[in-house]
Amino acid sequence: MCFNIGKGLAIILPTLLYCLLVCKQVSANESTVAIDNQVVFTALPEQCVTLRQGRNCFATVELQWKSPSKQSFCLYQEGEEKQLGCWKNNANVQIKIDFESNKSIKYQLRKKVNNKVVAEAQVEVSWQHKNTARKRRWRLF
Amino acid sequence: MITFCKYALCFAMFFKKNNIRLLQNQSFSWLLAIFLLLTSSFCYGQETSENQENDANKPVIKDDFEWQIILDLSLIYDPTIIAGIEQEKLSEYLLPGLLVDISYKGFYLQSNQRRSHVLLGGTELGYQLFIEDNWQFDLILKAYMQGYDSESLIEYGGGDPELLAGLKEREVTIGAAIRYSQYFEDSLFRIDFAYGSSGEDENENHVGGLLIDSFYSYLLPYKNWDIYLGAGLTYFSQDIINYYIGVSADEVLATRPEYDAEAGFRAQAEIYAQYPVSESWSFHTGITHSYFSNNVKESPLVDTNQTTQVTLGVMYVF
Repeated sequence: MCFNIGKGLAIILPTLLYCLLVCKQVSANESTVAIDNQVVFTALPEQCVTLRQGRNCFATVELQWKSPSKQSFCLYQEGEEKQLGCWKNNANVQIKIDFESNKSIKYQLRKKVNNKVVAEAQVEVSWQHKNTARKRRWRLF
Repeated sequence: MITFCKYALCFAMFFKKNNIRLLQNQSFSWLLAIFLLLTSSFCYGQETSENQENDANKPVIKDDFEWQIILDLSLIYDPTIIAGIEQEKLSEYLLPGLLVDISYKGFYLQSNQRRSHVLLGGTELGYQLFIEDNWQFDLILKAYMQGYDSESLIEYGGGDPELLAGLKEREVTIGAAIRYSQYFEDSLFRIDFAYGSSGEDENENHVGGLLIDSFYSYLLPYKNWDIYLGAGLTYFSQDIINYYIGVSADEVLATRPEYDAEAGFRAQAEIYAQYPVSESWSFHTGITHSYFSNNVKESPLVDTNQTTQVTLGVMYVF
């Protein structure tokens, strides 16, 4: 019986490890919301996972926008007036930012001339364990 | 918790007739009865005080219904203090675990994620007696020490027949405890005062004794990692230590003299880290070093009084 269980686990464990890697790939899908059909704006990864609800999630997020013609855009975090960067006459821009938040964050690409939102991309923050009072204690257990 | 039973061997022992018989063991039933009696009386107390739940001076209420099930698949290097046991086959390094956490109105089943054992071996049945913001008292029923069975160890666990043959099975020690827990900002200290009930000695007398089990755990978050630093100190009374590492007259061999063990203690230091890979999967790894009191080494069954356990695995949260 022990041998059967052992052999079974020897098969199951690598399989689950493979699944785990696939899950990671799935969670790394790009997030794109192109308001202006001409511009493609993506955030990668689209999801940042923490162990506990309420904890800051850390990730290096790659933001990229592509346009068929050269344009001037500024990048903003939704709800914030301070721009994260501006680019003049570019058709393809790729930047990496240090993401640190306990809430999902939406990024906006705006036209430099009139501040109009051209495209949005979101990085979603999720967690494995809800932060109930009991689980707050479980985490220390 | 000391673990003598491990890897796939625990499955074998779990299903062994002798272990199932344990559930019918008189001493275990006795402990269970006391536990249920105590929790029943406090349960009545809680029902009559439900109106106080909104009292501003009682911000922490007893747990409502919550549940969580985690499947743990780990590789573990887990040397024991018992002589003649070596991990050899891959299956002996695999440690599956089902971690169940359920709570309802002060009653709970909980698993220690970092110190769990095969199947439900690391699960605690508890009842919250008093809860305050930073401390609480609980009644606990749990397995404080796993047993070991020489025949299974020889057959499945890499046990040396010359050293282990002829030893009687040592059963699990179930303990009923009162637990005090103190919560700090990012750390926890808990101490259990337990009466542990083991199996029977060579004269078929019930073996039981005092256990005092304490542990301090400090959480050090680093980016998405949870890193836990832990230290523990456990006292085992003479009866319990002797049950596991003593050699009775009918177990004596030329290479194994009769031996009566004294009370002892175990100190532990631990580092454990967990990282979320997705909403359901996480990776974890840990090292635990255990140091047993020097007198433990005097037993002919014991090889060393220090062991280092290393784990590496994944968990799936349902």
